[in-house]
Amino acid sequence: MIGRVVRRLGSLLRGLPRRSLAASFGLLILVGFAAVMAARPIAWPHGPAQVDTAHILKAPSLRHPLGTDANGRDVAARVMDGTRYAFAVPLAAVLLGIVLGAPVGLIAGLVGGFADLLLRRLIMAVGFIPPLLLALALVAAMGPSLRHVVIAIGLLEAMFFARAMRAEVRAMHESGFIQGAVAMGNALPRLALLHLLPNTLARIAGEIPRRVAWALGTLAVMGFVGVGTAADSTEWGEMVREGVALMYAGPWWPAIFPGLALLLLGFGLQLLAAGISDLTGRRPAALGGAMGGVPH
Amino acid sequence: MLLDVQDLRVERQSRAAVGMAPMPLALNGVSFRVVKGRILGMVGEHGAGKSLTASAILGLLQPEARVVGGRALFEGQDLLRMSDADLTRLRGARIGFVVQSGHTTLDPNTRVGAQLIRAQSVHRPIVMAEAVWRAETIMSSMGIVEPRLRARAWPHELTPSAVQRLVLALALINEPQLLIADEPTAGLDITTQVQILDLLYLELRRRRIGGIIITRDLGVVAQYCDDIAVMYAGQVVEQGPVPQVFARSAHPFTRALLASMPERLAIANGRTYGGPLPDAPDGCPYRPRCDEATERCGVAPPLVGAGVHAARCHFARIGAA
Repeated sequence: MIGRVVRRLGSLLRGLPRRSLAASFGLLILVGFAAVMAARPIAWPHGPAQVDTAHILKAPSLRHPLGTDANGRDVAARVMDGTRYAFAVPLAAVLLGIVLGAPVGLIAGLVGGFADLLLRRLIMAVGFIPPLLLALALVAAMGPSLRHVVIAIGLLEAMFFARAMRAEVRAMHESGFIQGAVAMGNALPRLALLHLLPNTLARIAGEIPRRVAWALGTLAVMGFVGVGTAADSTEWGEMVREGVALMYAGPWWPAIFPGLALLLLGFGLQLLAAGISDLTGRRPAALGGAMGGVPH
Repeated sequence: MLLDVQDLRVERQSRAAVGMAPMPLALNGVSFRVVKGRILGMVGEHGAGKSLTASAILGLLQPEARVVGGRALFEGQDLLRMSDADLTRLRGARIGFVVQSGHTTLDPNTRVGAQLIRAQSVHRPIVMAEAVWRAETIMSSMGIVEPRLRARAWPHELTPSAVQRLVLALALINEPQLLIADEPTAGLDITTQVQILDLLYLELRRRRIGGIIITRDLGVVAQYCDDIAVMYAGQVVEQGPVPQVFARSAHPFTRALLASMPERLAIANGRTYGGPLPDAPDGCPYRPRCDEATERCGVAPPLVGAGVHAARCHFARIGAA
């Protein structure tokens, strides 16, 4: 069973570059980050918190390829360590968004009427507030902590997924196989769980990397303005914030490298999203209405 | 009597119509019968109300349409007055329904064998081994070779013909007493159409299932149906056993349909059904296009004829040559 899954996955990956170069590159970037993150504790000579008092704010060199920060810590090690946040927080937030948002959208799309109207108006109203500000306000209200950052981003993702799910359910309701399932005598709950949920989720799946990228950016902004992760953590936004203060004095490396890592990972996610759109033949524009007020 | 539909009336509401003259009824007194073990062919132009009739009987009308009158007795129970839950229990179990463009009714993300098993579990708890056996049996009786292997296929891997066979298998797997098939062969090539219809015919006969085949092809009716109901503008204008209606059609519209039977020929000759669809005139709805219309046709015609063959026309002479 497991062997079969592995073999299928293997053949899927081998064929990928031919079918979508974008998806392959995106995946390569993600895998690269994951590999570096996993290998760092064994393979890298410096730790993220290891202070080298003899080398404070040293420019990139052979000893410290990305230089050292104001406390004499290796920037490369810290950037690699920050990958943990970059993966964990956005993924958790998007997962939370799906778990919270998808059922709401499913039910609203299925039941229609007042519940549907209420959801649409609510999301529209909240959509007028810039999402970044909203996320910041939520964290500020709950108190800064990593968990609250996940919840705040997750709530915004939930709005997206509720809306996208609702649109998909509405569109799918007209489709033949749902009508066929109704003609077969499927009652509503069974219809929702067995037919609508898997099929709509499959269609929304392509949006997930794009949503993860948005969550990643939001996390970094929160770090940059200083809410969320504890000060002095290796979260990239936080590192950029600390580095920017030094930049005016000359040392550019503590701010630029975590920023570049952020850019590269976000680029990888967007490539993957574009690749999935290519592969499934669904342009992101197809979800345009669903995306509405929540930018991505 | 398996299904007895009497005077079924369906209204379409539209927002624009509020405060305006009421829209004509989409179904204006549809009556027909299906006898156990016999196959009824339902024919008529696009928009005559064939599919709407099927949806109304099964409680599957779109929100903008609603039943405003009539009865649809299925084994003595009125389907139109049944609760949603009771209707849901009937659909797919005792009444099989192949919806229009049925080839899209397979779930794209589920293997076909699993769908056949799922279809059985909709209405009753199943024993897995038995459900699998049933699925394989019905696949082979639908002419699918190597059912065990094919059960593992995804819908997109199958030919249109195999998909349509599976759609029929899904409708038949719970052994319904009545099967309604709405254009079961639309979009298939001619040879496949014949194969599918042959299969459908054999299965209906073998299981003594009452069938309704909705079609626009009189050839299908001639070959596979016992009875015919001709629909025009939301009414059944003529019905009866196929040989009688074909040999001695009593309604001018039926005659026009039959006369145009090789359809392409009819269009080439400029002999279509006669002009555009009318705006619900008083009296006989077919009047504006009828070659034989007289002043009497300004009065709504009654159903003429008794017993099995009847037509809705003042001048219908049932039984005459």
